[in-house]
Amino acid sequence: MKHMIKPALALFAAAAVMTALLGLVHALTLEPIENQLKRTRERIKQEILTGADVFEELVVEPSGSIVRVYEAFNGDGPVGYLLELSPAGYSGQIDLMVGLSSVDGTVAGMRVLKHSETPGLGALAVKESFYRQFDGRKLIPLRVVKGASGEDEIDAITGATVTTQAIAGAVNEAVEWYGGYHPETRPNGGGRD
Amino acid sequence: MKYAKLIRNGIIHENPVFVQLVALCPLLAVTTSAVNAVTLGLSTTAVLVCACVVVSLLRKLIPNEIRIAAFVLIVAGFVTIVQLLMEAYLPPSINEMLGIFIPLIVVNCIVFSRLESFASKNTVLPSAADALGMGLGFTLGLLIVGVIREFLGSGSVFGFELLTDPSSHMLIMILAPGAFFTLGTVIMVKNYIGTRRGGSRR
Repeated sequence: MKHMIKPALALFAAAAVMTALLGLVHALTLEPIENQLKRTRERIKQEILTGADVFEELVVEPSGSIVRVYEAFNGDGPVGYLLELSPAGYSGQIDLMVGLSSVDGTVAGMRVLKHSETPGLGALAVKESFYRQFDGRKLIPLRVVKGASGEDEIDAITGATVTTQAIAGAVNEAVEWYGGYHPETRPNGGGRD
Repeated sequence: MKYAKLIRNGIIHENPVFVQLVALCPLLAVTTSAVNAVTLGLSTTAVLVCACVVVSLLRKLIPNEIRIAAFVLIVAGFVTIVQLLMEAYLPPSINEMLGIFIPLIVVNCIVFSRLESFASKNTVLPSAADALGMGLGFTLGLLIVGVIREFLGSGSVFGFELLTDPSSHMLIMILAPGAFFTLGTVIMVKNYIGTRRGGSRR
């Protein structure tokens, strides 16, 4: 019996010490980690909808890959909408944000927040040269092609057509959502082509 | 002098990547860019040194029967600490890129082989030196493979674009086969130089 108790006690002691240590580090890093996440989100939101400083969450039925919708305001009033979407990528969900102008639903910007796409291929969706393509688009559906030139064409990332299609699809969904959202209260009755 | 020799041993003579050929899974997965390679290498080194020091200090207290369980506990603890610190203080993009490979340091065979074959049989300072050498050797291995793959596959080094024309990028180099090509070629060059110098090892 004794030869079993001693190892068990030793393991228990080791586990107790390690747990205490982990608890300590967790408590110390809790705030910096939260700040880091919050900072990233705030920075991205403001990057997409320049000048907006208040983001109010709207109550919407989750549909398709739309997760959350915010209406963005600056000092003068509403400036746009910010949609969080999670389309399915090549490997797992892609969490991204799409900003729309409140005047006519033009895409103000798109940023990928979190993904697990192939490094060096799909992961290139976080690059500026890729996400800038979506700025100012409003002609949907956007189509993914090689060597895009048209107003409704998005240049595919080499070797990552699935990723590109998932992201373009999410942007289409966001613009579509705008088209169906209380059009009567919009200043100029909406500007969908 | 003894410590310098132990450190050199891990970096050169028994380099985990180029001589022992262990930990190939993280090697394949994260060496698509030099920054990822260095970050994973240094995180592994930090975990390795901490775990080896603790195991070496406790080597007389840990009963032989629960040795492995205790090692797992200690390594997993340090890995979690490293991960929390990285999430708190490193740019989010690096955490995203490394993803699952930080938690997987727990089962990295370099860590276990050093604990089992060295730290559990030696005093603290030699164990720390051995761990540091192996960790740096692993980092160096990842870095060499990472720089070559990033340059050939994406035309950049540490994120600085050198070849901007996408048609000059070899896509296969940043996919898994590229890691094997690179590793094989580097080992070939290393062994060639070793033989030319009249090395007795091979």
